[in-house]
Amino acid sequence: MAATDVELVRGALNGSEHAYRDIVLRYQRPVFGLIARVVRNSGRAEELAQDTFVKAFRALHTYDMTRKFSAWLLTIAHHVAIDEVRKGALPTVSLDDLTGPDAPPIEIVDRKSATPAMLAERAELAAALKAAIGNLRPEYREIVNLRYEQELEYDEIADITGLPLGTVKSSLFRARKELAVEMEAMGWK
Amino acid sequence: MKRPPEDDLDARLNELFRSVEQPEPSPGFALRTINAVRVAPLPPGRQPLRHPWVAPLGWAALIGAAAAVAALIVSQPLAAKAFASALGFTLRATAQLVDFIHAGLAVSELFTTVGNAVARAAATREGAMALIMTATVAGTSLLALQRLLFSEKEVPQWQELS
Repeated sequence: MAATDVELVRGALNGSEHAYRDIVLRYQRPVFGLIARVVRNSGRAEELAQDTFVKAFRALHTYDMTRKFSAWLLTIAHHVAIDEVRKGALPTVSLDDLTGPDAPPIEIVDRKSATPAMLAERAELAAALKAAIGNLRPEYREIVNLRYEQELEYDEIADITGLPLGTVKSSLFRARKELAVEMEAMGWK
Repeated sequence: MKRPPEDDLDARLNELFRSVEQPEPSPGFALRTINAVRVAPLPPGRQPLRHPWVAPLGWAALIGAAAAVAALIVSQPLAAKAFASALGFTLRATAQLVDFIHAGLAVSELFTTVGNAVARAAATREGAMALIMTATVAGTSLLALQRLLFSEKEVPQWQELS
């Protein structure tokens, strides 16, 4: 049976590298995904995700074990991503670059069982979605990631971002509208 | 009851996001991250990360050292006893060898002395006369004995029966 987050945290606090590696393996995708959606640069997102895990380890003794660990970790990732946005160092990517022939490769779910046609369709959809998210404001991109990719509830999103619940709801409402418009413009029905 | 358009859009976006892959870091990200965490400075009182085999290796070394000390303590009287036995055996064997050699020398000395005395006695005139007389008496006795045992007139008992 897999260890719980709290067990892994206790192990890491006792110096177990194995325990902290399990934490990294368990949360690398959500952390990287959140940051990558905000900064829109894979290489930089990876550096920042690594920075997030280093900061989390350094602050691990401050983690309240009655709280959800993922929320605590994603809060750190959120601050790391927002700091990067505030530096104004984010590159801008045009929609044409993301959907054109030179677009970066997209990771596809279940590659083995999917047919080439399905893979192509999913790749196209993933590229379109990535482009549509990329056109949102950074704050909306983060909320969209937390809501639809991390599948978190509104109160958890409010907890992570530090925004009031009402602000989260209204931001998500606007983000959804913008996303729908973008996606429909690319043929999504 | 019809769902509000907002909820419908939320559900459709959920479905859309589930159908595509989330971004993920490149292979080896976890290992690189752990390496970075290992060298990161920590607040006072915090334990740094240990490599997974450090603790078992430490325990193995400790147990090995304890076993070596225990073996030394247990085997020391046995080793001392064995050494003492070997030493005693060697000393006894040496003493017996010395005794044997000594006894051999004594017997040899006895024969030598007797031989020398006989040789000295034979070298004198009286001694030579005595030796000649002894040899003559011995030869005569042997001849008499032969005549007595193998006389032609005497028939063996087994021939008489046949």
